[in-house]
Order: sequence, then C-alpha cells, then structure tokens
Amino acid sequence: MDGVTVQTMGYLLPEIILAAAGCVIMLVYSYTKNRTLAFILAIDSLLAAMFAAVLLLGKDVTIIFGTVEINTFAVLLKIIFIFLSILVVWASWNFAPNIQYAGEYYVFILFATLGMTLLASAQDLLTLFVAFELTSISTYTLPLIDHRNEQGREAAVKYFITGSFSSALVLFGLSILFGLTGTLHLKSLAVALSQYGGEPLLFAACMLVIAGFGYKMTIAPFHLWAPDVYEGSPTPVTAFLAAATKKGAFVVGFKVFLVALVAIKLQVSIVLAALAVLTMTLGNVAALLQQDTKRMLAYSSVAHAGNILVGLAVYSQLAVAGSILHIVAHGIMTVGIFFGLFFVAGQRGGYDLAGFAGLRKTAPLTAFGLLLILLSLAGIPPFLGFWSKMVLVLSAFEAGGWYVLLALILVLNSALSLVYYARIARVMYMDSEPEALKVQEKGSYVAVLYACAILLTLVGFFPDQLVAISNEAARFIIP
Amino acid sequence: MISGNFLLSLMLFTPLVSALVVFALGKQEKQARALALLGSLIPLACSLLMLNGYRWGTVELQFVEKWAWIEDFGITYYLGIDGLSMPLVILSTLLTTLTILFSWDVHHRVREYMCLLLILETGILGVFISLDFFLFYLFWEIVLLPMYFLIAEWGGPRRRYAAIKFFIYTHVASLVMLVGIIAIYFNAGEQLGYYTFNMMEIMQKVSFARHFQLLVFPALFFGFAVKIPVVPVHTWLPDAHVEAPTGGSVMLAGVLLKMGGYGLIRIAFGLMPEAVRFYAWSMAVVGVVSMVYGALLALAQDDLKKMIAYSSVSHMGSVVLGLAALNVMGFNGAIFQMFAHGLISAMLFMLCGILQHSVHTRLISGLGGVASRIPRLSVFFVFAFFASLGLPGLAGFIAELTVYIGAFSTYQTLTLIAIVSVVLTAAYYLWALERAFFGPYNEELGEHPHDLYWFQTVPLVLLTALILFFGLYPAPVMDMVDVSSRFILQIVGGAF
Repeated sequence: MDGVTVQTMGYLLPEIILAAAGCVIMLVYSYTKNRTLAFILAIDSLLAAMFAAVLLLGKDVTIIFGTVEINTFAVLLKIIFIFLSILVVWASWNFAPNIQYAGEYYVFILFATLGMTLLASAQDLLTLFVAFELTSISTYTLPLIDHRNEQGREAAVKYFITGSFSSALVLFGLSILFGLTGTLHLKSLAVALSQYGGEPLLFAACMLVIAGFGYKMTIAPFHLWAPDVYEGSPTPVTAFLAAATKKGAFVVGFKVFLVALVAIKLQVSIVLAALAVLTMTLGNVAALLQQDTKRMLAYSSVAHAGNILVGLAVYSQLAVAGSILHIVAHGIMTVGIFFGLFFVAGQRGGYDLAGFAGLRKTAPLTAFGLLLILLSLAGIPPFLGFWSKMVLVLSAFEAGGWYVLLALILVLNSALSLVYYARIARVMYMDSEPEALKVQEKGSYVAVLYACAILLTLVGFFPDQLVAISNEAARFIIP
Repeated sequence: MISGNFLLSLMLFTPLVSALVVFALGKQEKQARALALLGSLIPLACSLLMLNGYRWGTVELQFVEKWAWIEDFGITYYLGIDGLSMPLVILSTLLTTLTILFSWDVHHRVREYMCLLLILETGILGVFISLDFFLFYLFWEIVLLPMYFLIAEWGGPRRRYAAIKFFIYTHVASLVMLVGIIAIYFNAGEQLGYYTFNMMEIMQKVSFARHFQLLVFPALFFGFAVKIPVVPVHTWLPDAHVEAPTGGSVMLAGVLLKMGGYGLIRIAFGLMPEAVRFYAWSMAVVGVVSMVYGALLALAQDDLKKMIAYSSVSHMGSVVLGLAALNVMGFNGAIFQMFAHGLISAMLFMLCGILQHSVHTRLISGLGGVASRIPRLSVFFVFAFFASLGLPGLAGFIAELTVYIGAFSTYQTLTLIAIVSVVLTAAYYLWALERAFFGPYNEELGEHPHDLYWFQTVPLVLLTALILFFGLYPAPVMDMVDVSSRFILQIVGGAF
C-alpha cells in the first residue's frame, strides 16, 4: 500500500497523536504557563497514543512506500516505549512543577517518544536515522532542564558532543552501505549485501555503525560518557535516558545488525559478543567500586546494556525475544529505582550510599519497594528481571558452541552484580542511621515505585503472555 | 476427608498466606506469635494427613498435582511426593512449628521474624515437593531471601558479614546448578523433540550421553554440595550458624542443609547414572574428608554453637559417603541420617540458644558446672550430645550404623578412615560436656540462671521423644525410604 491515505494515517495514529500533542503543549504552555495543564495533556496524549498502538496489535502491513512497517515487533516496542514514557511522566509529578521549563520537559519527552515509536516501525535506513536523531536531539537539552542542577550543564555538553559525534559515525557508515548497494531499504540491503561477503569496505561500514550506535547503547568501550551524563542529569531525566531512549538504540541494532547486515552475521555476531562480555564485566566491576548510588546504578545500566546485547549477538528468535524482555524489564526497573533514589536523595541531600542508612525505619514503604526492584535487577527469581536474563541464557545455550561461554559469563556477571545490589539493600535494612530523620513518603513516588515493583513481581509470576508476544515479535526480525 | 488433589498446594501456600496475615494483623507481639503458630500448624496437619493417606511400598508419586504454567518453555506446576521427600516434608513442617513455638521470647520485630520463618517454610517445602526443574529452582532461590534477612537482622555481632557470605556462597552455587539444569533442558529437548522442564518426564524418557553426564554432573554436584555443605565449600556454614538467631540456626541445620542431600539424590543421581558411578569414589572421598575434617574442627572450637555447626559438617559428610556407596544400605542410611540429623541438630541449636539466653555466654571456657544450677537444661544437653555422637538406641546411631555398613561394603579403607570421626565426635562432645556442664559452678555466670520455660520445654520434649522413638523403632522411615532407594539404585545401576 503506497502513498499517504486516510488509512495510512490510521496506522500512524500513535505517532500523529504524539506529534500533535507535543505541538499543542508547547503552544498552550507558552501562553498559559499552566504546569498542571501541561502534565494532564502530556499524560493523556501518551495514554491515547498507547491505546492507539494497542489497537494496531496483530496488524502486519507496510506503508508509505515501504518505509514504515506495522507488525507485532513494531507495535510491541511502540507500546513498551510509550508505556515507559508514561511511567516517567507520571513519576515526574513532583519534579516537573519545580522546574522553570516544565512545559518543555513534557514536550521533549513526547518528541523523544515519537522518535522511538517511529524507530520501532522504520524499514529503511533514512527513516531509521531521522527517527533516531529525533529521539537524540529531543533529549540533548533534557540534562539542562533543571536550572538548579549545576552538574546538568556539563552533562548536557558531554551528552551533546558524544551524541552528535556518534551520529556522524553512524551516518558515515550508513552512507558507505548505501554506496555499496544503492538501496536504503533494510530488506533489499540484506539481499544486496549477500554479494559483498568479503568486502573490507563493508566491514568498515559495519564497525562505524556499531561504534556509532554503541555510544547510544552505552556499550563498552563507548560507554564512557554514560556514567557522567547519568550522574549529572536531574534524576528523572536519567531515568528517561536509561530506561527509554537508550533502548531505542537497541531497536536500531535489531534492524541494522540482525536484518540488514544478516549477510555477515557471523562476523558481526563475534564482535557483538565480545562487546557484550566487555560491557557486562566492565559495567559490573565499575559499579562495584562506587560509593555514590546514582553512579553505581549508571554503571549497572551499562552492564544491563551488555545483557541486552547478548540477545543481539546470539542471532536467534529466542535471543531477540530475550532482548525485548530485558528491554521491558530493565526499563521498568530503571524508572522505579531512579525515582526511588531521587526521592531519597531529595530528603537526605545526596546520593551517597551512606544516606540510605536506616531507610527501613524512616521510610519503610520506599525501602521495601526499592528492595523488590533491587532483587529484580540482580536477577533473583521470580521477578521479571530474572526471566529476561533466563531467556537470554536459554537462547545462548540453545545456540550452542562458544555461545555457551557467553551464557556462562552472563550468569557469572549476574552473580557479581548481586554484590552491589545487595549492598544497597544491606545499607537500607541493616545500618542504623545516626540521627533518625523521619522521611515524608510522598504518595506519588511511592505509587510509581510500587507500580514498578508490583508489575515486575506479577509479570514475573505469570510471564507466559509477555514471553509469547515477545517470541511473536521476534519472528519479524529473524524469520 | 480432604481430597489428595490439592493437599500439597494447600500445604505449600498456607505458610505464605499466613505470612501475609501475620504481617497485616500481627501488630502486637502476642497476635503475631499466635497467628504464626496457627499458620504453621496447618501445613503440619496437611503433612500428617498425607502420612495417613500415604500408600506404602510403592515408588509411585503420590498426591500429584500438575498444571501447565508457562507453556512456551515447557514449564509445569508439578508437585508430588514419594518416599524420598515424605520424611523431609514432615521434618520441615514439624520443625517450623517447633521453631515458631520456641521463638516465643523473641521481642525484636516479632511480626517480621514470624513472616520470614513462614516464607522460609514455603520455600523449603517447595524444594522438597517440586517435580519440575524450574519450580524446583524457583523455590531453591526463594529459600535464600528469608534466611538472609533472618541472619542479617536478628543475628549476632558479625551478622552482616555472615548473612552476605551465606547469600553469595549459596547464590553462586545455585547459579552453577542452574547452568547444569539448562544444559539438561536443552539436551533432553533435543532427544525428546520438545522442550520440557518436567523432571519425571526427562528421567523416564531421556538418557544422556556419557560425556554430557560427566560434564554436567559436577555442576549439579557443586550446587548441592555448597548447601550440604562438604568440606572445601563449607566455610559459610559456621559463620551463618554462629551469627544466626536460634530459630534461624534450627531451620538452617534442621532442614536447609537437607535440600542439598535431597537434590543430590533426586536430580543428580536420578538423571546421571553413569556420571554417578564415575564420580562415586571422589564423592566418597569428599564425604570422608568432610566427616573427619569437620570433626577435627569441632574439636578445636571454644564456642559451643560453632562446635555444633562443625559437627553438622561432619554429620552431613556421612550423608555424602552413604550416597556414594551406591547400595541400599548406604542410601537408606544417608536419608535416615538427614532425617535424624534434622531432629538432633534442631535440638542442639535450640539448647545452645537457651544456654546463651540464660547465662549470656556459649564459650566453653567461660562456662563450667552449669549442670548444678540449670539441671533441666543440662539433662537435655546430655541427651542431645549423646544422640548426636551416636549412642545406640537413639536415632543418630541407626543412621550412622547403616551408613557405615553400606559404605564398608563398597569402600573398606575409606570407611575405616571415616570411623575415626566417630571417635573424634565422641571426644569433642564428652570433652565439652565435662568442661562446660560438670565440675564446680562458675560464679561469674550469675546467681540464679533461669532454667527452661514452657515454650522451650515443649519442643525439646517432643524432639527427645522422636529421637528416642526412631532410635528404637526406625522402621517407619526406613520402610518409606527403602522403596525409593531401591528405585533410584535401579536407575543408577549400583549393587544391591
């Protein structure tokens, strides 16, 4: 179905809602400066977009000259991204009204979400790149959004420079691919590339693309910006960057590495596997050494990127399903844990681990919610975080050969990560605080924290639906 | 009569539900205790009902429940019970009730303490009755969390170190075991043509290649050996025991350690017969080293609780030796040893807790003449020590005797070395008894140390009665175990 028709519009409804809502909020906010109104508009439009996306489940069509595809994979990821944005916007209820640019905050989140939903269904390199840039550019200013946060400036500059540098790398790589094949469409690219098996230029392009997207995925050795930016940004922004936008890069990864570059999958797989091992190990070891919880979780987020990458390296349906599951799991866990930290840090005046001492007494609800999420992060059954890792390990085992080694390294890293997650839990539950400050537990934070924790637990107990739909989605990446 | 079809689930989940009830309603200590006791009596009643309806003399699984759970991976909710698990299930439900009763004088955060004990019970029972690898692993991991918190919150001065050591040791071991399970899952899936975590199905329909067995068995063994624990990987146990609160120690020694032995028989032996035969001698060596080395370490301890902890290592070593013997006597002895050790070590740790409470020390060098001031407690101490060192007529003796008979017919020299541990065991118990309980009273311990309270007497009397009963008449447990041992041996293909 070519061209833009009314029916095409229906397929793009989630994107249209997000784009329109972004513009409306910008206008309304600049006239009224009404923060509550902006919040209501943002969350309602996200809910509407999610509803529109849910309606698309089960469809399988290609529209707009083959550049956009609506299938289970695309729709599932759209739903995931919009859902994570809803969580972030909802959790920002106490954060956004205190900043000068509350309206812009919502608008940027909406546009970034728009970029990610487009990414999920993009079928050619240009659409992919434009959608990816939309996501990136929308988030470049987010670290600066809270003018009281001094570190934000440095974080924003760092984020912008590394981000645009990586975009340049990607663009260069993609232009070589286009030069080699003369096509931008992912599937025709895959067909055309099958003739270029040993072309050195192809590998150069491939490495450029991996390096470029590796920045955004926070894969070692391209992760160096991530801890600084994650630490320097206001925590709600960190949550959004780590939970949602980073995962956008993985969606690109699925499409470029697993679909377009399938001709050289063996070589790509080896590189990705090596990077996954490096990322997991470096992230976990670095996290072990941190005393600052925010930085610790920034490194933990790097390590989890390595886990997701395992799914890309293994190149099978189950592996892709595992990656999708881990994207969901890590997204929810990240939102929960960072907003939990944000709340505690706001009360205790810092992210230092010592500040979490005695939280059990002063903020029992927060402590328990954080504990559940920490357990999920460490991959303890039956939480969702365990399931996604389990599926990844299963897929690596299934692939056999040296992938078994990859699975073992994933398991060992999971054990390693337990040490620092348990440290936070220990400080919260075991250390008593010198002066017992009663912390006011705000309803909205607790609600978000528990929404995340309960979701992780419930889906952990009954993962079959989610696993089934992830498997279904994976079939569209690896047939 | 309750139908057998959901009795296991009822038993499994009542403690979990009771934990929630206790958490919700147990605002006051009294209520929390009463509710917890009530909540633990229901699974006990369930297990006794099952014992009543148990069909003797069959290896068939009984009270089976099977539902599809996560079909994409072939995971089923599959519960059942047989001669291997029945004694351990009863042990778990009984000890939980006794521990809750015994913990009547815990005043620090009673509600949470009771909740954790009940959650622990669900985890342990789940391990013993799951017949699906995945479910088994799930419960295996669930056990860690309440135990971690029990040690870390209610423990002694070095509790944080001990708790985290316990957690990391056993978690790493479980992960290694998980790798083994996943390997089994895929290998079995290739042979069957479909993937399943169903233990029984894999056991009946799949036979693994020799090299696969030799590779995977060590992973499983490692996972179970850390829990048992055997000597090179036992170091978490003394720390955990010394720092854990009495209730935690009782559960740890009484039932948690048995998970390792149970897993070894049910999974490692049932699935990997060739590997078992290949590694039998090495396992026997590990068992004997644990027995002798554990006993030597116990001999060197000044802290009574630590001494008992090392004696656990020593006694659980005999479980491994008995299993490695690969004959009916050895198997029966090993399983009976798990049961007997559950009763005896529970009693020993309870006594240690009472002693600590009443004279504020457990150091043998700081005690002395305790028997003259705390006579009733001392009587139980003497009884438990004798039970543990294997006095004929008590449960421990039957267990050790059968293990040694079984092991001797397979490994003469090793068994002779192992018997050294019996001498050592007698030595450390009698020596401790002499120094701590007899002789002149050490006045520094206080003018009028308190003797037993009613809630301490009841569990102790009950355990004493059981130890005596099974020492004189071991047939009920032995008969139950015997059929299953023969069945497993048939799979392993050892001598009869």
